[in-house]
Amino acid sequence: MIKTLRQRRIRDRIMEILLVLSTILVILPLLIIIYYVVVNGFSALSWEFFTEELGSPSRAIQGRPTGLIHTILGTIVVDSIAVLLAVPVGLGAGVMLSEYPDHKLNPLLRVMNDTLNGMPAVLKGLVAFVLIVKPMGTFSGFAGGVALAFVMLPIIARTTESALMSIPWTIREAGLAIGLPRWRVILSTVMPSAKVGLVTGGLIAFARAAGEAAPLLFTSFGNNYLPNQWSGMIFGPVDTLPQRLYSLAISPYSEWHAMGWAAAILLLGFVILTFAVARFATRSKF
Amino acid sequence: MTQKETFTAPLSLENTFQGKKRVKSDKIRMETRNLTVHYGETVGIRDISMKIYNQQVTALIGPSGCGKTTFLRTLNRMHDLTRIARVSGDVLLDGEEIYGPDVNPVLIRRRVGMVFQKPTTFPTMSIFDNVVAGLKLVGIRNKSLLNEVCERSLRQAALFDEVKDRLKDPGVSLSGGQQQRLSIARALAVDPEVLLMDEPTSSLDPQATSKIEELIHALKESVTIIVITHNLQQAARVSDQTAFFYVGNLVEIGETREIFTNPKQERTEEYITGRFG
Repeated sequence: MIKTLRQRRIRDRIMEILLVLSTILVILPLLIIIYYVVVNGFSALSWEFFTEELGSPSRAIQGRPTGLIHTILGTIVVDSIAVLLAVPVGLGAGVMLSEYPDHKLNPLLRVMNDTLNGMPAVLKGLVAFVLIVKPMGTFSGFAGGVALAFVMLPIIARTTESALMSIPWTIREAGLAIGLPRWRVILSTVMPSAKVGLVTGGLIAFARAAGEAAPLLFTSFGNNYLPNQWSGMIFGPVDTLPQRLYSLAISPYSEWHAMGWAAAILLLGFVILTFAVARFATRSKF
Repeated sequence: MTQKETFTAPLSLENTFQGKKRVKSDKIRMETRNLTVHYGETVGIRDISMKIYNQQVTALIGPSGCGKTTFLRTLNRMHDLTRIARVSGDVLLDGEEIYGPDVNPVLIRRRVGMVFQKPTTFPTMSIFDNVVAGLKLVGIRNKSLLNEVCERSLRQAALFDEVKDRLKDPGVSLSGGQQQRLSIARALAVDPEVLLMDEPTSSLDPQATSKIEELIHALKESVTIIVITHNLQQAARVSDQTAFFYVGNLVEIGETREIFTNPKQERTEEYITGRFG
């Protein structure tokens, strides 16, 4: 049957409506989440919230100053450790996957990376517990960072690979053809060309890890108080936003529930801020 | 001046050869002996023996898939990247085997540069940085030296006047033809002895093409050039020596004038007269 122009136009219109609909369905959940989090948590945001430590539940119940400064700082420390560990290793693995496809270790790396990516986050916490917490004899921010690094690592490796693969192969050959060693070609021509993709991949990995509570339960453990020194955050139990959000939410105190919503605002703001900063830092020079 | 007219005027083959020197520099720059490349089980090129003379342009012609590019890429060890490609036989550069056990391919590629079918501008670099990439990225920081090399290379590539006021602009802001000359300038900046060109004008308009042909002509005093082309008129215009490839074999090689006016092999004649390919 030959379709008339009118029929084709109607089909075109239907497709367009479907696409717009699915776009809305993608955006809507995020907007609902942001709305609920902000409405419920806003009242708990105060000056003290950013300057005081949490302490015991009685503080909140009796209206004494209480806040999440120890959680905010702890999150920064633990996430930074994770980034410092996962970014170089993940980039290296991604470069291996993309630039040395013929290497003997490559198939093994690919299988292992995908397995690690599919592994439940709670198990990664358990691995960090066995590797770091047991030998050190204490829960620590460092152990939490290692656990989160396991979450980030496979994502960074995979996104790095696809970002580098999107750069035409001739760019590499052109670099080699002017007598540059292979590592220099990768570092100075291929990777800068893929900068936006690399950063986006890092951000996806970071956002994923920053929201994980499960791997931290028995690694960084959590803490109601600010350690006396900075080193206490690295070598002792430390609080983080996703985990604190969880403990506040399951606590029996309505005052803490409100603080939990406020912690969610912080976590969202933290991730959005990171995205904004990274976007600004990688904006095209040209 | 008559030279220049020959390049731009619509050509018949007879015109092309007028005024072309018949002298042959007898210094051999590169030589291949029984060069064979396998891709896994299939043969890319078979048993190629060829001499490339100093200060000459050698053109490689033949239908698509006949092994011209495979051959060209053996000359600067570009096949090292593809594990499945196996190279056997000898390739000599100034009498030295470039596939020898102690030879560093990076150093070979400094002496044997390459220009590709499409421009290969490094997307994140300025025009200046693109030209001097081969120096800057190995640690040469001397500003005046870099400036000097940049200007010399851009002049050699006939691009300097067009870009001299905007060397800091991104390389990718140039037109396709300019970017191709930029790629040539970058290849020349490291001062190679040999320049391999793989269909350097196939993506360019006639004007840019004639610029590059003039360039090849001017460059051959200082650089030995090997160029692949599907444009037979171009091969006739720019080269001193022409090699005809067919299904992985070197069918015939000789002085360009001989190949085009008096080919010895029937295949060659059929190809250049347009009966196949």
